[in-house]
Amino acid sequence: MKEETLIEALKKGEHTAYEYAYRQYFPMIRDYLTKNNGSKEDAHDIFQETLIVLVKQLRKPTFKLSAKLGTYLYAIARKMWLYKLRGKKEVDSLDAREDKEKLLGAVDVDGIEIKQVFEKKYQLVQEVLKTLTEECQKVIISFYFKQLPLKEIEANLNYSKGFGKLKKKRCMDGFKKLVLAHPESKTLVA
Amino acid sequence: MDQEFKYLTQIENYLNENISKEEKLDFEKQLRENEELAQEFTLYQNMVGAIELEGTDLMRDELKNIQVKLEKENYFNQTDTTTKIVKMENTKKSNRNWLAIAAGLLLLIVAGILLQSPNKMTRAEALAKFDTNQSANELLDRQINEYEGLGMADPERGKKDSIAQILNAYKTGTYQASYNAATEFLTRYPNDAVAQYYAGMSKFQDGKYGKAVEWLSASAQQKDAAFYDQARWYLALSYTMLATTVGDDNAIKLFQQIMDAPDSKFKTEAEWHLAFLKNN
Repeated sequence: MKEETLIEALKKGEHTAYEYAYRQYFPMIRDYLTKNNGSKEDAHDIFQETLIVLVKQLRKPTFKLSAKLGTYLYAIARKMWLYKLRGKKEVDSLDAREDKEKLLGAVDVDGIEIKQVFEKKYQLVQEVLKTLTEECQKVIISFYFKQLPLKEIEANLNYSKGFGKLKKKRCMDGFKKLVLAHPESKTLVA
Repeated sequence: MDQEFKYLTQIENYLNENISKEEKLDFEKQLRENEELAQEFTLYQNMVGAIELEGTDLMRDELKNIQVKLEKENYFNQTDTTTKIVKMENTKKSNRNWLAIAAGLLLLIVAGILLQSPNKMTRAEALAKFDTNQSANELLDRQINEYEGLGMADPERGKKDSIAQILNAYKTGTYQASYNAATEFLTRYPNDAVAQYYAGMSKFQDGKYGKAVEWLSASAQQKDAAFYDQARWYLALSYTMLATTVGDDNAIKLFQQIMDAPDSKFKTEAEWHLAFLKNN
């Protein structure tokens, strides 16, 4: 598979692309981790989190991949592992030295931490999201998380042309209604 | 605040920067002055944050699933040994003695795989260690017979047919269909323990361990149910596969309970998994 094709498929959240990336790049990450005090299980955990970060980065409209996919994955995995292994402070000073190699500069691991601060509030709403119909969850995740165009969602779910927009609105309305019915909803609008 | 979104298009156009500078300034002014819009805007951001979280959890489940699949294929061990074989092939031309070393290395690798101890296994490998599906399938067959049994005049015939549909879909391995049928059934009978159990089991078989935990947690409370032992066992495995601190704590408690239960069928397996978790 060509790298451009793989990147497009990863952005769309295609299962085959995830599996291809796993087959292609996991051995490299495993070799690095196991040579640096990590277990096989650590390697899988770090690789999976790395792939999640990569896919999220790829979906950002402003993001431009400045290196080969493998190099980028390696850089994220390495940074993540160092964070886990030594704690944030030590890695920050290490990164300052290694930025000279221009290997890790593009990886925004700080951004991941900032998001975790808000997770508790989101977790509450996430529980509500899980109570929506499977179909609505699919529409919402496809549109907002995978950022698929409505046309593609319509094709995936066998909707007629134009129905995707209507369905998305209905699902978001249903979602909002359930969130507002939650006993702690006041904390979510303030 | 309205139950439905009143400003969804405006909010999304603003956040996606699909509007002109003037429109943007106007929206920001409204945001300061219109309390209803401000509340809807905050709520929307929390909802999108939650979607991001759920999407990430689903992706994590999907990747775990791929890991399990590739480990069952023995893919990672193949990539290990392939590298070694290729290196050996290159040196073979210059010195045939390397062949013997290569063979020895391969033997060591194979022996290593066979003798793999619990603390060197991954969770996915640990999951595949015991095949406990047989016990679950025996229960499934008994339940299918029970629900498909004679009794056309039975006032609960329709309900039983619906449960039989869930069970048959599960038996044929169409877990998504089984899950869909179970959740549809649960909208009519929200407390039905059998449907909750198979909703959880379907998600477990699909490698969606977060969802499996949700459904199996309810089933594992049903002490008098026929599936109580299985529900507790698969719940413990699901917690293990989440690979989180809380998940591990819950799994350890459950494995301990299974070991202590006088009539559990999973005592040996639970003991092994307990050791595995404590060593990892």
